[in-house]
Amino acid sequence: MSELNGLSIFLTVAQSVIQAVVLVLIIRVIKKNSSFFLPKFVGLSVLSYLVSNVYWIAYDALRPDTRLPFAANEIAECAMILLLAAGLDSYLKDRRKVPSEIIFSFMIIIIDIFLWIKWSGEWIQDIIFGIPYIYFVWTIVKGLFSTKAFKNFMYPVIAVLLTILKILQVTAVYTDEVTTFRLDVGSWIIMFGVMIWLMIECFRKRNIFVAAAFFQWSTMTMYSCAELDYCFAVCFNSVSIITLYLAVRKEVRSLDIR
Amino acid sequence: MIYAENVLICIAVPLIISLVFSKKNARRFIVSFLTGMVVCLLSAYIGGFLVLVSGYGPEDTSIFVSPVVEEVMKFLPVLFCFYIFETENEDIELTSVGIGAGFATFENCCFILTSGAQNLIYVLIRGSAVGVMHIVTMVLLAACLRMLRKFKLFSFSGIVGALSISMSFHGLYNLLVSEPGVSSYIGYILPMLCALLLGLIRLKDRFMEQSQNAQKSPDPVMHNDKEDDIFIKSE
Repeated sequence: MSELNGLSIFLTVAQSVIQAVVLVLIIRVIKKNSSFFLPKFVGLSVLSYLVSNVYWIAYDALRPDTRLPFAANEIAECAMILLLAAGLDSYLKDRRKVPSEIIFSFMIIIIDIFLWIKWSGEWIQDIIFGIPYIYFVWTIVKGLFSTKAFKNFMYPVIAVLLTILKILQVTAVYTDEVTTFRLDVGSWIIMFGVMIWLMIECFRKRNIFVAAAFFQWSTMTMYSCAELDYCFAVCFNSVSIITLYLAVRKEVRSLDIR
Repeated sequence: MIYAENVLICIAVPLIISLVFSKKNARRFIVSFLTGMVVCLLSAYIGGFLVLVSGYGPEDTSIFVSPVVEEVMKFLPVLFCFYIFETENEDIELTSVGIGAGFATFENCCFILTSGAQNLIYVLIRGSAVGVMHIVTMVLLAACLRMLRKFKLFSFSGIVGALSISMSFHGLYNLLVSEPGVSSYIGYILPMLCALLLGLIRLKDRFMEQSQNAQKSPDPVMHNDKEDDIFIKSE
């Protein structure tokens, strides 16, 4: 087992501990206000993510150095995304369906699915487990707009950055090693730059949709990285789980005040 | 080789006859139990077909394919009840547990007929691990469905999310028991622990419900039920 592999396992174990703690804290929030649905869905989503991590750790321990095929951890991740999306979608008061938002979410995830297939060569599972992300991203985009999470000029900036990122990633698949490295550095700067900005926004605003956006962005960064960058992305992903809890707690408190 | 269809007929006939002499919840449970056994047989057919198609070995099939097939097959009758009969919350749990118990019983019967029942410890482990696991996944599924209904969030994503949770739990169990040693011991204990935990939560919920009912205002005019619903999403 390489040192990096050991580090990624350690970080996954640490993330599982964070998930377990967050789960306990969410249960406490649920106890305080049992008639509010959002904490229950976030709790179930975190539980699914915990099961996914436990499965991954168990698989790595029982069958080291073998590629994980179509397995329960991906199903658990699918559950995590779907339950979180279902909860957030119902929390939205805004019921509009803007075609540009749907097309944007669809295009981004379709490009991601294409990249996953190129990187892993696994067609069926990448397509099946990529589809829930379209719904999740669309829900986040709707939520960010309807809650006015960012200033108006920030939305086009994010869209342009995301488009540049996808162009860089797709181009990197078809270029030689030196060019790929340069393009990867560009992607890395955008991915981690936006992620740090989202993390700061999460702690500042504690908006549930910003927290979901941070969670989604860190997950996508995890899937796009390997080796040391992957370990960094796992750290950010663990923080995003904490920000989800903080956002839910804030929503529950605001309801209590009302 | 065993003749699973014959085993099913042998177990099912007395249960079918008992339907004539049973009522309400008992009848519902027996029908669910029978459905669980039929679903188990159908899952075995589909699983066998997928082994041939996918090219996985028996162990890989049990780890990667069986949880998906079995949980989907158990879920379909529950969903049918939910939509067609608009079953009450209590009945959904009873139906789910019945299907889980029927599934586990038939699977255990076939397994014991294949491998023998001489070793009591092995049979006990089989009963308290796999048997309980099928019930736990169904209770988990029923709880998620109840929650979706309570908050009027019965969407496609919610239903698939609930199903995925039970699939991943089943997959985790199958993975843990696939290798001998500590992991298999954890796997064998896991369903029983979860069953105890779910049972405790259920007991606590009942206790809370009873105490809330006792504390309720005696004057029904003064109590506004709608106040409790303000956080529940409206359709």
